[in-house]
Amino acid sequence: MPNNSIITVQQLSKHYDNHKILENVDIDIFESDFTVIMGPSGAGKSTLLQNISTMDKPTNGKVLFNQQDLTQFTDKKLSQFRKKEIGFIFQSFNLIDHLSVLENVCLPGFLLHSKSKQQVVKRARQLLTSLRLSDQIDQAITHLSGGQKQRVAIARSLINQPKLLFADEPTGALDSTAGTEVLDSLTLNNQNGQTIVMVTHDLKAALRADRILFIKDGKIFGDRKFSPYDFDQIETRRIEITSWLEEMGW
Amino acid sequence: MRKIIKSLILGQKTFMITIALLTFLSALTSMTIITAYRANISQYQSAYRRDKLPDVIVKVDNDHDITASLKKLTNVKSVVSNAGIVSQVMNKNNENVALFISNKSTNIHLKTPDKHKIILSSYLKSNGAFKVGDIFYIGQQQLTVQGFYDDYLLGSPLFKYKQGIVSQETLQTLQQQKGQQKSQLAYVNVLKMTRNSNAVLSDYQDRLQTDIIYNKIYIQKAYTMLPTIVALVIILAATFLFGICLFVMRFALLSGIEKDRQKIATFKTLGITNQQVNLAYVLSYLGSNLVGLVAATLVSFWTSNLVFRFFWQLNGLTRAQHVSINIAIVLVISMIMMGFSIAIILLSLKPIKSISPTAAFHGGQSKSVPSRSHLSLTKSSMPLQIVLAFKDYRQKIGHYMTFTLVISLFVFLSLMIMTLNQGFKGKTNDLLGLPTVDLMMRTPNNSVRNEALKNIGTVTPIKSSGYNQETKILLKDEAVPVHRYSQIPHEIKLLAGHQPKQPNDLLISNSLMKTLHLSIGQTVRVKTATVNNKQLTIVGTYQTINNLGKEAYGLIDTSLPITSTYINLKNTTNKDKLLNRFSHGNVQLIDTSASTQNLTTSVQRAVEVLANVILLLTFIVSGLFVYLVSYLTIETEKRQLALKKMLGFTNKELRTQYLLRAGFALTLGIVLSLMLNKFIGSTSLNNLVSLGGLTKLNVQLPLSYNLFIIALLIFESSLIVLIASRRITKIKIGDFL
Repeated sequence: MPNNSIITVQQLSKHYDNHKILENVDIDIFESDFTVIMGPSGAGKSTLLQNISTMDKPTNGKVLFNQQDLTQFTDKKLSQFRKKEIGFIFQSFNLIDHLSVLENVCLPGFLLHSKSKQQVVKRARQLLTSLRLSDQIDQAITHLSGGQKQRVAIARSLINQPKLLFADEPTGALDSTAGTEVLDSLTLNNQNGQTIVMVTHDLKAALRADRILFIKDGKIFGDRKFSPYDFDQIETRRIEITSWLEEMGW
Repeated sequence: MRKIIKSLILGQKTFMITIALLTFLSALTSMTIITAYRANISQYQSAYRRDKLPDVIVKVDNDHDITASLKKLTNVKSVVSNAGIVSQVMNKNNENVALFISNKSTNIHLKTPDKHKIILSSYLKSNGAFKVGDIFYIGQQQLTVQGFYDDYLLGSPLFKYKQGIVSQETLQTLQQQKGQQKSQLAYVNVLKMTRNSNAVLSDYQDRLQTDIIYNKIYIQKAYTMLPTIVALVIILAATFLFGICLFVMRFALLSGIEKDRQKIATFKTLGITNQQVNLAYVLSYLGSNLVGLVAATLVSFWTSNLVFRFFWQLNGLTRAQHVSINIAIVLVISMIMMGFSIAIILLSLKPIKSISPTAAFHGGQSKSVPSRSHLSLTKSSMPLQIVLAFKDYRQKIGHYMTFTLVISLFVFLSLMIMTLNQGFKGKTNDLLGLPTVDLMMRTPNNSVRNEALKNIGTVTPIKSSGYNQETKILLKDEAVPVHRYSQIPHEIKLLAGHQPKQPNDLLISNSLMKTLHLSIGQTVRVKTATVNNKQLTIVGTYQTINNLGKEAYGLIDTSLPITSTYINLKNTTNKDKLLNRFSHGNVQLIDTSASTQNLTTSVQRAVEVLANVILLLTFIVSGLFVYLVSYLTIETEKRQLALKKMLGFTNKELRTQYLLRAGFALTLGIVLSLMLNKFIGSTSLNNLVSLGGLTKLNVQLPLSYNLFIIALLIFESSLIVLIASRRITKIKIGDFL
């Protein structure tokens, strides 16, 4: 039985001037899935992620969340959706440099107003400790390494316990060890029931997926389900995913 | 190089235009005012030379020809005397004007007026006192205004008497009327001119009996004083404007460099040197300056003439000649402006050096300095919006400080202009050294004086009266007017020492103190009108109301009759009736307030118009600048704003935070301006008016004016920041993440 669809994308198109980036994309994102979007450079991966995560507005089409079209949301409703329902992780971290590690993580929590300040700070400390950042809690962002920054970004994205986590090349700016740590965190969150949608061109990151969408020339070129990630089966998984991706022209 | 300029500068078109515009405005103002001001002096001096006007004027109130006695003096080259009468006349609007009426006006060749007609100084036309065909009476004699002429000698609004020219026959008729005050002016040319008006005729024995002695330096100063004040105020505004231009330049450069970090880093990876990048910026910004300067030079051909005509009219003159642009002025102003611009540009380009080519690989993000604020988002009990706004403000303090400084400069300038305007309102008499009494009465002796006072009191109650016995002393060969007031006027500001208490005490003006190298406590030997050799002690010095005053106060010559009485009336509505009824025979009543009213009004009006123009300009430019700063601040914060949107901030919340940040900057700017105004405002103003020939401006701007200016600028800035903040709503998250 497939999981329930959490996001439904219908006939989504995105044009910049006369240039078509995405054309009539139809997809469903299912609850608790770790969906990875792959494809060649310029295929429209990040654009698709931004459009379904409300970071950008499509030229045409609908993005349904709980039967409500996100493209029609007002500024207030959109910000409520972003605060409550989603988290986002970027290749370039996008942390607020002049805030400390703890402040960066707490900010979305304070903004949501669903918990007291003390509760938010407590949860932020827990998250940072679980991500091995307890010694950096009061440090300035500029003093952290790339891997540490990305873990702060993960903590920030999880502070409000969102249903959906979007990640755009989260390991792109990291070395192998830091990248693996980040992916482990994401996998753990997914195993705990969080829906993850990640854009990557990194095979290592793609191995974590239980579903891969291959996008080419602005269209969904391939969509395949895989078994949930299991480290013990990593080699078999690598062969399976690689061969499918090669079929797609990767 | 062109490609670098294009690439770096294209995004800053608005700033380039603003810099060019501000340079244009400040250069145009400076060029125009300096050119017009210099033309005012030089054309006045040419006219003085052309009309062969005298080096010294001596006025005595009698009909004995003083030509012979003046001719005997060692320093005298030639003397021409001009007999006439001094009279108070009333125009159609019932305004009193003090006239010296004679049948010749030095060397100006005027057509002799017709019988019972008069040609007046053109100032009386420009201030609306008279027009051709107007009729007024001197005693029983009717005179009709036949025309006007530019009087370069006594035509300045600053002189108490204006000249009127009549025919010989008419003058005789006027002189023959009973009770007319006969006077004469002696126009003296000297062999050697000195700066001290009295010292040029140092061996003139009757100096202590003369009414006035003006030398040409004094006269020329009177003709240039008002334009000087006006010019200084405008130059002050222009300097502020250029200061703002430099701020804009620095702000634009710093923001531009921050915005273009990646581009600059990429250029560096391609082998382009720091110098080449710097040169690109220098060329483009100086280009904007140059455009402004060239445009200002061209427009100043027209505006210089316009302003010169305005200055000329302030002098009471009408026939202004064309003013040519002065290349030296243009070059000096351009060089000063370019010099400052280059210095600011080079100073602002320092960050380029620190941009490493590696920045090209990191999305050009600068290493942001973490906020040193102790205000923690996690600990503070203040609302999130305020804490965040404050932290963001601290992070972008450079941008907001520019905002703060500019606002403070604008408020400071506005307050100064308003204070100056307020200072001239009702204080012009003080500033120009004119008396502030309702009537001056001249009588030959004490019994006539007492009788006249009694008679006046029966018509209109007298509020206060006192005497101002004016006499002269010969001090170090200088004839110094000495006042003996029944009560020394409150306007006299003691600088050191005390007021005269003993008959031998002498209080002298600071300018006289300097000129004659005297000091307090010093004993001097003088000749007075009654005693040939008297010993006086200098007991104090006071600040003269205008720099022209070289006078003293003392209790000497008490045996002399009181000839000048000042009268303040309880009710001034009957003043004209008093003048008509009592001003005849031995009593001469002079409506000093009316004779200076037009001058006061014209000075006030000029300063008021000027102040309003500058205020309006300040208002417009500040609005423009606040918009630009807001625009660019939002531009440089776009990424951060997009990031906050991604985290769930609404547009309204982001705009509120921005408004709070602008509010911090605005509040700080206003506090700074109030401090500036309190500590250096009045000093600067006093220095300014002192440069203009005046030395006193004890005026405090009422609180309501302070509040008005501040409220106006807060309203304007808030409105503009609010409008500019609409850009925040247009930021798309996807474009920046």
